[in-house]
Amino acid sequence: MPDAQSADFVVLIQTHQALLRRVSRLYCTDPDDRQDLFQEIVLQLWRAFPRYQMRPDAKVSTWLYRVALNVAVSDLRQRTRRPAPERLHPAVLDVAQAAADGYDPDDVALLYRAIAHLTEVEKAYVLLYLEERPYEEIADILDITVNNARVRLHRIQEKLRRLVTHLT
Amino acid sequence: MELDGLRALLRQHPPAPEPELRPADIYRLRAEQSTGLIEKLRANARWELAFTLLLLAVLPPVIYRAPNLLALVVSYSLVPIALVGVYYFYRKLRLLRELSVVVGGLRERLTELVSGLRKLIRFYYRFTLAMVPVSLLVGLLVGLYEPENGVSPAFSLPKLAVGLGIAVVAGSVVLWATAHVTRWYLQRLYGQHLDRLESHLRELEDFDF
Repeated sequence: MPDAQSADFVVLIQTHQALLRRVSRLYCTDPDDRQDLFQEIVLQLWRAFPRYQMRPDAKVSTWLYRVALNVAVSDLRQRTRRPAPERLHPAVLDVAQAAADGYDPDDVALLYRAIAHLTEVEKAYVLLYLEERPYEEIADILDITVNNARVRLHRIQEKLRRLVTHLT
Repeated sequence: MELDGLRALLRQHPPAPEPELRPADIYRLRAEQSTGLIEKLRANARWELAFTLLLLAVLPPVIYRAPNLLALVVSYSLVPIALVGVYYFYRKLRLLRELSVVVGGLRERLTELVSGLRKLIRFYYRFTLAMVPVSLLVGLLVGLYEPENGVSPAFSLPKLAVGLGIAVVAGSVVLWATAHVTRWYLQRLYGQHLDRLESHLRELEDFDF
């Protein structure tokens, strides 16, 4: 691959590293697994990069989420299975800050625990929702209809309410 | 607290930025070998194809210099087996190459993976079962052969018919056992992955509104 493409790819990863890390954190609680997943995502992005460059109209965030979530959800390997942590990862949100904003830090921690109990596909919906992706983009990333995305998210929110009550 | 509250909280307090990756780190990450199942299957298929091609390359001189009829028969019978093997491994590699690049939305990718894994399983199953009668036939030829006479002096058409009958019965038992063991092995190797992928796919299916 020409050097210009390589340089473009480096800039792309540097710019969107946080997004890729968030996907890795959501799916892997074990630090080694998380790093493996991050590496696999970068590798798959590199392989798919020439096709992406041939589509100048493609939205970068949609492409990044597509590849990252495809790798995370469909990854065919045995990962270390450990119990879900209290929170997804300390770096996701400083729970202490929640109190200052009028939220009970325990409630925030509880919600994170509930999210950790969701299926891998449900976590993808939650991530895209928390990242404030519009329904049209969520539908595009997951290859479903907009209506389906709306209904699924509504049901996941109901499921989270039940899980929170159950975990309390 | 609900998702909307968490979203608002994350908007106000985005996570602390990660230390920036240096270009050298990114080059290293993308140069590393994938550790996924598809990549492992690709590496295995490459070795299998290389071994089969090597076998095909070695067979002509072996046939040319065959010291006796038995070596000749065995060598000749290996040629179609190896050719079928080359075709099988080539198709397997082509399919795995298609699966190794992630494109499209999640549902499209999962559909592609499920269908690809199913194809691989079918190839493997058919190839393994097809090898059973071929191996039995080669075994029968080897059994009939005697170094001095070429063909066993005990050979006669009625005996051949009995021998073939026994071979067919034994072959059926071996085929039945091979089919069961192969199915068990494939279920163990791919079953859990397929079940997981299919369950993900069901989650993405459209509702009947």
